[in-house]
Amino acid sequence: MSGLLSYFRYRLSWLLAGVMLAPGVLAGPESAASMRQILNEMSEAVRINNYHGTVVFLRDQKMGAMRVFHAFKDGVERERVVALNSPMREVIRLGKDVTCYLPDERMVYVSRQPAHRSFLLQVPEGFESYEQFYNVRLVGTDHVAQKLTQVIELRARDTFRYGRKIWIDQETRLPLRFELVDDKGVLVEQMMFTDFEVLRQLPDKMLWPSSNMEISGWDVRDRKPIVHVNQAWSFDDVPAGFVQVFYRGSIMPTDKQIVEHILFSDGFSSVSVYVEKKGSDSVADYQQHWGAIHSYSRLLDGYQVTVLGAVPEKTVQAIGDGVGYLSVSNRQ
Amino acid sequence: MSMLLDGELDPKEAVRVLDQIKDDRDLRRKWLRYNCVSSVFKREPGHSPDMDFFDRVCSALDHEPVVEFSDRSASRTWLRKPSFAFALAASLAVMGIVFWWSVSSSLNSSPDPGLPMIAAVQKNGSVADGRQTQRLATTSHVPRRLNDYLIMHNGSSRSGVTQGFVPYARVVSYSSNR
Repeated sequence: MSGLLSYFRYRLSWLLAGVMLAPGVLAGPESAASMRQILNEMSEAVRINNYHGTVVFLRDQKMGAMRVFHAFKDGVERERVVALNSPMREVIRLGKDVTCYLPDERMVYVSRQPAHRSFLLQVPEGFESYEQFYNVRLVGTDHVAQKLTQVIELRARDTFRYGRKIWIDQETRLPLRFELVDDKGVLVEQMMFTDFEVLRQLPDKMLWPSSNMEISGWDVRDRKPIVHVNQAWSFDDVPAGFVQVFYRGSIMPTDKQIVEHILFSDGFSSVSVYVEKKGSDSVADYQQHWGAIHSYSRLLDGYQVTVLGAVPEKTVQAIGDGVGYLSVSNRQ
Repeated sequence: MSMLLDGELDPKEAVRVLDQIKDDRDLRRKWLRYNCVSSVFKREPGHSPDMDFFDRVCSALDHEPVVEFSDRSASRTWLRKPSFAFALAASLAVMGIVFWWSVSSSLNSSPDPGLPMIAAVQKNGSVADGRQTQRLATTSHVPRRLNDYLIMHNGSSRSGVTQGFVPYARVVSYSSNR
């Protein structure tokens, strides 16, 4: 009898130890390291897992639905996102090549990222630095698409970025639900898997464009990257935490204009700055938003500057107003 | 003038066109004709086309100047612009088809399905009506470019630490709120 008790005591001690060490239980407000680990695991899980599911998307009080397919094979990511309702759009990604099909407009956007680009490698620090700008904590567990998830909240410490909540599948570490909230706690964007499956391998046909994407006669906009040696722009009022990730130029397919693109990120939120020569129909001081995305455009002498990102209005405006010339010689 | 009639000009441009109309007798006649036709198309009270209405419109069209574009790709891009589509309706070029197309487009969708449904705020603080703003937006450089910028941005920020498929979901869904 005592042997049996000892056995149960032994099993119970291991069970307790296991429960204590489970990240979700261990993680309190003080265990930033656990949060970091969960987020890092999520970041990796999104990249290396083979999965597909249906996602609903809520923005501006409108709802959309899409199918998401993702595969990782021989070190290359493949992805397909398909709208389930109008407009019937589709995005296909194969490694660094991204193709957006817009059948309503009979248009295809093709973009190829430069080979040296690596967002993750170019962000200099890990999640530690983001803790200055986000209060990261585990707020509990919840079920999404019948999967048990851990709910991580990233509350923005200032008003230059949105806060967010991420529901992370406890088993696969994949994010199954995602919310963006503004500084008043108002939900600005929400995404959620309603069904979801992880497979050992995703059939290739799931990653092909839909059969109705016959692009013969469509307008194909193939955006070609160009190499810029010198960045000629300075940024004086970039909110703390946003670091420049890259600078590059592209030739726009429609009018052959060169557009310079500078990306800033704090690791969670990203903001793009686009600079191109002013055209006859360029506009000054123009602001727009849809869902979480805000944009701000202004004229800077002979150039049009547009700032765009899933950040609050004040962030795009601060960055846009702080753009200036770095040096005259770089402008050549 | 057709863009003015369709409310697609910003106030500054509208004043400039109205000044031109005021000073030119032919333009005044054309302006009255456009207004009349627009009212008929919009089925405003007081205007009902008589039996030879379309014959007279066709006859008038025969005398309209032909606009030619040397750059084929530019003309194709131009054709897709909603501002042009609405102007086309007003200037009677394809009459019925475009009329019904434009009316249904204006009722059911954004003028350019490629443009996100947006609320624009001019910097002077006035909040513009969403639909009106989009029409204005299509006449200027930046809003047309926003399509390209949005796709570029989402492609670039895709591999952000916690982004996952989210940016592509935005691309797929961003004009679904018609």
